[in-house]
Amino acid sequence: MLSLKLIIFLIIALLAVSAFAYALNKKIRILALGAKEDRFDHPGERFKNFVVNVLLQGKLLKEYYGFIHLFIFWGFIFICLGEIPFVLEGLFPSVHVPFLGTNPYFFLVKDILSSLVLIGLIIGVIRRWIVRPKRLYRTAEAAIVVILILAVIITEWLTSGAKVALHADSAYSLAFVYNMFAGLYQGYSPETLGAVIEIFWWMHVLILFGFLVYIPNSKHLHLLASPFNSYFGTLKPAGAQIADMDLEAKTLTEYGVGKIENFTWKQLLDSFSCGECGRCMDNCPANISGKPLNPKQLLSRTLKDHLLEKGAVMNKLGIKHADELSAEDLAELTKTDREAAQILQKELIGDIFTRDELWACTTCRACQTLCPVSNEHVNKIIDMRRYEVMNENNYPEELQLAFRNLESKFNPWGISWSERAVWAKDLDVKTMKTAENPEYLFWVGCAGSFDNRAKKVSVATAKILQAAGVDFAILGREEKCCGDFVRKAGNEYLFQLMAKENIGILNNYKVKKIITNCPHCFNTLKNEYPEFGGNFEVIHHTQLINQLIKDGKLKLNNVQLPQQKIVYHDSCYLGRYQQEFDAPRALFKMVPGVQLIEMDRNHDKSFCCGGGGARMWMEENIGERINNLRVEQALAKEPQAIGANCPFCITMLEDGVKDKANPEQNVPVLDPAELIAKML
Amino acid sequence: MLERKEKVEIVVCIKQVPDTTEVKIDPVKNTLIRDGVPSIVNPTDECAAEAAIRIKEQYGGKVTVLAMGPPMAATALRKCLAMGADEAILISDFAFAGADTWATSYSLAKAIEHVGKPDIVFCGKQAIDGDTGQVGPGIAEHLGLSQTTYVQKVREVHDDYLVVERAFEGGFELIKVKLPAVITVDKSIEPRYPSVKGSIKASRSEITTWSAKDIKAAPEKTGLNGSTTQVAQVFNPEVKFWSEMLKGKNEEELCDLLIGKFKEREIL
Ligand SMILES: Cc1cc2nc3c(=O)[nH]c(=O)nc-3n(C[C@H](O)[C@H](O)[C@H](O)COP(=O)(O)OP(=O)(O)OC[C@H]3O[C@@H](n4cnc5c(N)ncnc54)[C@H](O)[C@@H]3O)c2cc1C
Ligand code: SF4
Ligand code: SF4
Repeated sequence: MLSLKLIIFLIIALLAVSAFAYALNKKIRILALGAKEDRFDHPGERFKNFVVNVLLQGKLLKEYYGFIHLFIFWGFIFICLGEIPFVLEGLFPSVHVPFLGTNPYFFLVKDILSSLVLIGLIIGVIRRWIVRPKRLYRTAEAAIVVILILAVIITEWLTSGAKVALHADSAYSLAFVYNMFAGLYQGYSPETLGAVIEIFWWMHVLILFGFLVYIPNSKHLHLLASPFNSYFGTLKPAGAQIADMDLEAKTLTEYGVGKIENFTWKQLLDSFSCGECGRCMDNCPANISGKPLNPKQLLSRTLKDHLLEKGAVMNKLGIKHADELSAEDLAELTKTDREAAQILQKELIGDIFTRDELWACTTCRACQTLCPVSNEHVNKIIDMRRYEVMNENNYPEELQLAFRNLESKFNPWGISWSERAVWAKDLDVKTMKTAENPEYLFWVGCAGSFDNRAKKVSVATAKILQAAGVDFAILGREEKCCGDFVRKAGNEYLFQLMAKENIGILNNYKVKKIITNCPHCFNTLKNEYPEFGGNFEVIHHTQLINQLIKDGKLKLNNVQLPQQKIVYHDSCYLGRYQQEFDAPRALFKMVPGVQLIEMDRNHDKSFCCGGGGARMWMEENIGERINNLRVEQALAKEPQAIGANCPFCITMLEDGVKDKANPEQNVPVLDPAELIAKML
Repeated sequence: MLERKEKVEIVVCIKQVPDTTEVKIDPVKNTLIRDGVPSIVNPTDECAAEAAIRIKEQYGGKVTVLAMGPPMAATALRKCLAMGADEAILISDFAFAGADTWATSYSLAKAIEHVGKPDIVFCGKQAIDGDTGQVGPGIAEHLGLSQTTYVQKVREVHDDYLVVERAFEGGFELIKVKLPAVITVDKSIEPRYPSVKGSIKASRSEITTWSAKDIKAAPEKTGLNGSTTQVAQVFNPEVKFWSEMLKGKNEEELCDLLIGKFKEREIL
C-alpha cells in the first residue's frame, strides 16, 4: 500500500513537473517561431565547444570572477546527483541507491562542492549587493535564486546531519559537513531527530520543486538554454559570420529583420541563454561612452521581454508570423483583445529597439568575444540595420553621402577614383596591368589611397616591400572600396556590388596572395569574399614584415632612434576578428629605443577606437566620443607615442589626441611600418 | 492659381557618358578612350529625371526614361528606374552608330513618338562628353514642340502650360511655356539618392529595347547616314601661360608698356 507520504510526494511532484514542462514547452514553442537556420552540422566540433564552454566553463574563466560560477556550476551538478539518494531514501528508508547512496567518496566530494557553492554564493552576494559593479543588476530574480540555492543546500545538510546523528551511516563517514551538522543535534532524542528529519526533508523537497518551477519562468531559464546555445554556437571564423543574403532570390521580399519572429531560432535562443553577467556591457564602447546601446540590455531584457510577450500572443492565435493577420483580422482582434493587438503591432525598431541604439554599435565584437554563453550580438545589429537601410530607406543622413560617394567614386571620401594611385607616384610601384603575374597584390584600400595620414603608411609599406625584394603590384585605378563599411551599415546590396566587381578584377588577374595594411579590408577580402567566389590568401603587412625579417629577406639597419614609450592599441578587426595580437607588437619591439607598453584594456578586451561598423562615416552626437575615451586610456600610461595597426584607428586616435592631450604634448599615433621604414 | 488636374506623361532622355570631366581622346582614332573609365548617367540628365519624378509624384502619371546607346547603356536607365521612373526604353541598333546631334535628336524624337504623346520631354542641359547642348532643342524641332533650355526650376505645372525658371549668369527668366514642350534642365535640381530597395528592383527589371525599325526611323536619317556634320578632329587644347608684372610711374606709362608688349607678341 502506498504510504500517505508517498501519495503527497507524488501529487506535489506531478504538479511541479507539469508546471515545469508547461513553462518549458511554452518557451520552446516561442523559439520555434524563429526563422530557420541550420546549426546541426559538425556535431563533433559542436560537442567540443560544449565541453570547453559548458563543462569546463572556458569562456567564463577568462575573467577571474569566473571561478565563482565554476563552483556553483559543478557544485550544483553534484547536488542534483545527491538528490537521487536523498529523495529516494526519504521515501523508502530501506532503499540504498547503488554508488550514489552508498559511496562515502561521493558524499565527500558533494560536501566539498556544496561548501564551494556556499562560498561562491557569498562572494557573489558581496559583489552584487555590496561592491555593486554597474554590470550586475540587483534584481529580485537574482536574490530569489541565491536564497533558493542556499535553502536547498542548507536543508539538505540539516536533514542529513540529523540522519547521521540518529545512526551513523558508513556512506556519510567522510562527509565532514554532514558530521558537523550532526554535532548540532547533540542531546536530541531519537524521536525528535526523526521528526527533524521529516520536517527538513519536506522543506528541502518543497524548495527543490519550487526551484524547478521557477527556472523556466525566470531569467534562470539561462540554466536550461545556455548549454544548448553553446552547442549550437556559430562555427564560422569571427569575421565570416554575417548572414548570407541572396539578393537574386525572387522569394526575398523583405530585407533584414524588422520583426522579432524574423530572427532565427538560434538568435532567439541567445536571449534565453543570457545569464545577465554583464561582461558584454562592461566592454562595450557604445555603452561605456554613454550611448543608449547596452548589449546586455538588448539581449536579456529588451529582446527577450518582447519575444516572450509577442510569442505568447502569436502562439495563442496560432500564427507563425505577424504578417499572417490581415488588417481586418487585426481590427477584429483590437475589439476582442486590445492588448494582444497592440503587442502584435509593436515595431521591433522604433518601439522595442531605438534607432540610436541600432546605429551606436561599432561592430567591435567585444561583447560577442567575451560572452560566456556564446551569444551572437553583432549579427542582430546588422540584421536590423539591413532592415532599416534596405527595406525602410531610413538611416542616418551622413551615411547616404558615404553610400553615394562609394557608388560614384568607389571610395567613401568621394575623391575622384582616378586619384587612387596618386600616393605611389614617386615610388616605382607597378600596377597589375603592367606587372607580370606578381607574387603579391598590395591591396591599398580607400584609407591608404585617399587619406593623407594613411597614405604615409602605404608609402612606408611599399618601401619595405621593395627593400625586401617582394614581387608585388597594386591595382591602382582598378581598385574599389572593399565594401566593409557598407556591409556593416546594412547596405548589403552595395556591398555585394563592390565585392563582385572587385572579385571579378582580382580573379581576372589570377591574384592569389594579397597584402593589406587595413584590417577592415583584410577581414573582408579574407573572410567575406569567399562567399562570392573570391578566395585569396590574405596577409596583414605587419605579419608579412615579420615573416620577411625572419626569412632574412628584410635586413634592418641598427639606426639611432629616440628612446620612447609606445602604448599599443589593438584594432578590433586585426585583434578580436583575426586573433592577431603579436605581429604588430613584435615589430614595435624590434625598433631601437622603443619600450612597448600595454593599456589596461588590451588583446581580447581592447577598446574600440570608435570607427568600425560604419561609425567612421557617422556623426557621434550622443555621450562622449569613443576615440577620446580610448586616447584617455592611452595617455594614462604617459607614452611618447601610441602604436596602432589600422588606418581608421590612426585617424580616430589622432583626432582624440588633438582633443585630449595638451597642445605641447605631441603624441603621434604610429603604424609599426612607419618605424621599420626608418631602419631600411 | 489653377494647378494641373490631369496626370502627366513624361519622357526623360538620358545619355550614358564616361565619368570624366576631362575627356581623354585617342589622338590616332579621334575617339574617346573609354578603357577603365566608368560610365555614369550624364549628370544633368539625372537632374532631368529628378524633375520628372517630382512632377509625377505630385500630379500622378508616368515617367519613361529613354536612352540611345549600346546595350550597356541599360545600366544608366536602371539608375533612373531606381530613382523612381516607371519604364525604361533603350534604342540600340547599329543603324544609330556615328550619329551627330541632328541624327541623334531625330532618332530620339522617333522613339518619343513611338512612346506616345508625352506632355513634357525632359533632357539634360548638355552631355559632359559631346557637350553641344543641341539634342534637346533638336528633339523639339523634330517633334514641333515648344522648348525651354537651361531650366533651373519647374515652378508650376498646369494643364496646358508650365512656369519655369530659365537660368542665365547672375539671374533667371521666368518663362511660361506651352505644353507639350521640351525642357532641358541644369544642375540645380538635386537628384535623389535611390533607395536600396528601388535599386534592387531596378537591377532586376527588364529594359525594353527598340531597334531603328521598331521606331520607324528612316534609315537615311539615322546614324552616320543622317549626320550632316562630322567631327574632323577632337583634341585637348594646349594651355600656355604667360605672365609678367609691369611696373610704371602712372597709368599712361603702364598703358604704353602694355600696348608695347601686345605688339611684341603680335596680339595687337
Ligand atoms: C569622341 C566623340 C566623337 C564624336 N563623333 C561624332 C561624329 O563623328 N559626328 C558627329 O556628328 N558627332 C559626333 N560626336 C557628337 C555626338 O554625336 C554627340 O555626343 C551626340 O549626338 C549627343 O550630343 P551631345 O553629346 O552634345 O549631347 P547634348 O546635346 O549636349 O545633350 C543634351 C541632352 O540630350 C539628351 N541626349 C543626348 N544624347 C542622348 C542619347 N544618346 N540618348 C538619350 N538622350 C540623349 C540628354 O538629355 C542630354 O543631356 C562625337 C562626340 C564625341 C565625344
Ligand atoms: S559590437 Fe562592440 S559596440 Fe557593438 S554592441 Fe558589441 S561591444 Fe558594443
Ligand atoms: S549577453 Fe552574454 S556577456 Fe552579455 S550579459 Fe548575457 S551572458 Fe553575459
